[in-house]
Amino acid sequence: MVTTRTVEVSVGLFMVAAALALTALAFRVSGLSLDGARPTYRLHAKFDNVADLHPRAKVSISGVVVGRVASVGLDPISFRATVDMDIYKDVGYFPEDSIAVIQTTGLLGDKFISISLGGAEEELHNGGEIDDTQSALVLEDLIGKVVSSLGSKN
Amino acid sequence: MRKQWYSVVLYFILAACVPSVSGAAQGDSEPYLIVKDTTAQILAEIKAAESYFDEDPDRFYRNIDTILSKVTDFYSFSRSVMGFYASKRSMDALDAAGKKKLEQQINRFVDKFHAGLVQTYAQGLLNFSGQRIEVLRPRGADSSKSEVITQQIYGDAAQPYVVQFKLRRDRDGAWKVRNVTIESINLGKIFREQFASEARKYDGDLDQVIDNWSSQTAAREVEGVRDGQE
Repeated sequence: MVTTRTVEVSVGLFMVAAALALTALAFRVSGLSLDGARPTYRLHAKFDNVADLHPRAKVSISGVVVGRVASVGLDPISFRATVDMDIYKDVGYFPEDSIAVIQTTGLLGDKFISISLGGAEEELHNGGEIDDTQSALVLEDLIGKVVSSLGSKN
Repeated sequence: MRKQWYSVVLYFILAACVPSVSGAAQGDSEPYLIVKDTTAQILAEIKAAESYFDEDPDRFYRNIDTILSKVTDFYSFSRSVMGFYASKRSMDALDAAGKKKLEQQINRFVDKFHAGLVQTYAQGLLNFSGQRIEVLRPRGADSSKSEVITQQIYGDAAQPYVVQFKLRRDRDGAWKVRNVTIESINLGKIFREQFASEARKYDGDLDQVIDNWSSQTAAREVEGVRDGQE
């Protein structure tokens, strides 16, 4: 009687542990972290093409994460993609001529924003806009260009 | 009495403002007109150069320089190319003597970069064989501070080359070109990477980087992409 009870309790504990592990894994994989306490400031940028950039995508400098994409939308007048980013305050402020580039991890991986720091004296503070951007390189377009160039040379 | 005096002043201010506001709303945006106008001037200069270029090629470079200098913020463009090395953060980390030295280096690089860019651009123009260039009307102002104007250059290839000019208001409020994107290649970014890699090569000695600076490297990269399309 007592042994079945112990077995039942340990199986229950094991299930709870498994559920916790799964949750932790889900958080890790999705990039959702519980570091909400880290203070951020907001920057905007407009792109011609964001190609599947999602909210919570990484914002990085030299490969180091310095913030997250907060939201992706569409400018109603110019129909360009607008991206809001939350940058960690402890990273500091960027020069106003910094360039935001959409890049891909690996060949077909997730999209993220990489920031190339500029040299202007003025800096972008909360609510500022990075107005120099480079859109995502779309692999299909690239293949199309190569194919058409091959076709014209033959 | 006092109130009336205010209203008279207010009336004059409003009267001064209204025509300019309505004019801007009706017509094309200022950055668009600047790029369009400059494009026309450059095309005219290429045509005129046919008669004098063989005897006096420098005249062509000088004239292109004059046209570009009016509409380009070479100082900010160069500083942007220097990137981190010219930023406020680097500046703040230096002592007074270091700051002065860096400022001199920035000014020296501005001159070098300006000359190199004009030279490269003018050489590129010489290869342009007189096809059509179109400046596209922007689909709506991006923001009051900056705007992107797209130019389509029709060459021998089926698809036109797309060149985008990034304009921004300078300190005096005039719209100036700050960066150029050719076929989705951000020229400023390529120059910036070139500067950073040279700076690493010379171990952070900016004087050496500036002395050995050549705009040709990045220009070749753009040319490679262009050739790939032809």
